[in-house]
Amino acid sequence: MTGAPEVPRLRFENLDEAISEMRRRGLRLSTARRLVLQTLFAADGPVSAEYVARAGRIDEVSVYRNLDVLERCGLVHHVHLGHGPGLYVLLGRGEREYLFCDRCGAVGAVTPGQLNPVRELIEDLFGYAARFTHFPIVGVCARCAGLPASGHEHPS
Amino acid sequence: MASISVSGQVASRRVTAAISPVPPRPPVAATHRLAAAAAILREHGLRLSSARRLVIEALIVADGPMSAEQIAHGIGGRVPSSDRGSVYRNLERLEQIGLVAHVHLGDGPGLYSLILFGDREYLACTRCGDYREVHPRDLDEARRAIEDRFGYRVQFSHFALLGLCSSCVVEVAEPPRYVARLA
Repeated sequence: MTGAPEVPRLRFENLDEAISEMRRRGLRLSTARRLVLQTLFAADGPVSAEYVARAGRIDEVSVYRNLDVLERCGLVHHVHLGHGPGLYVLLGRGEREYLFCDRCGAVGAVTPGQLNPVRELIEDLFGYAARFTHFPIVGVCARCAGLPASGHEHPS
Repeated sequence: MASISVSGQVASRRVTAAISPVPPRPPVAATHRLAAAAAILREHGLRLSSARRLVIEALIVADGPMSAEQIAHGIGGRVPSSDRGSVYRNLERLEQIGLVAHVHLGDGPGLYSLILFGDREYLACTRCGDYREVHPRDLDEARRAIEDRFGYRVQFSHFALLGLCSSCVVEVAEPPRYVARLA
């Protein structure tokens, strides 16, 4: 049911490291593939394939194909933030889990460790091993809920 | 927590009405569902047209949230089938007045249900596709833990809480036994 392949996540800090990880897995570095990676490095969060095509000036079909390849090889993954298409983000600095405000579209990215207490609670209550990497926790952010913000910076 | 801005598609996305302004309704007995639905329609100045009636009846016989497609097919023939376009239009209208809500249990289309019985929240398994419907109070402890840490006031009624269900957790952890038995 879900299109997120379970592959080992690769570690890399910059474009050169990403490219060498890719080559180590037998993938060629085409021009389009380099542009897709560059665009994802330049983006400061998860972006749509459409955005990658526009910002990187790459043919959209080629963007989809390359994102798919990069996802299968563990360099990229996609997350569904509310309605709309999956959004792609690099995995190099470790996996992130997401909180999404259904009202204003704000996105909070946290390390899995930050959500472990919540995960343990859910596992105790329901036996579910919850993961918020592919589908975020959805609700309203502190600002939209009219609460004092607790460590949550609202994107402006 | 890192807060990130999202470029491209998300920024311009229509803000959804998921956190519904419609107050939760008190539970309604099963036998009165159609009458209750008709009363709510009347409150909003809407008729119980035959097309709307088909949609509502489909949702009454359904044993869980259903796609517009399944509703148009009469829930596997349990009620008469109806025109898909009309189903979409009516679901949208019924959702606007708070009689129907849709949930996303992972990838795939939204699944609709009547909300005559009070709110429901969902947990869904990304591996086997199974899901669990829970009363909101069952998730309050998790909700509080999330709000205390991140300030987000969350609901799992529009987007389910996703992960691996207890059976899949075990299966993922333990490789299939038949390999050992063959040896």
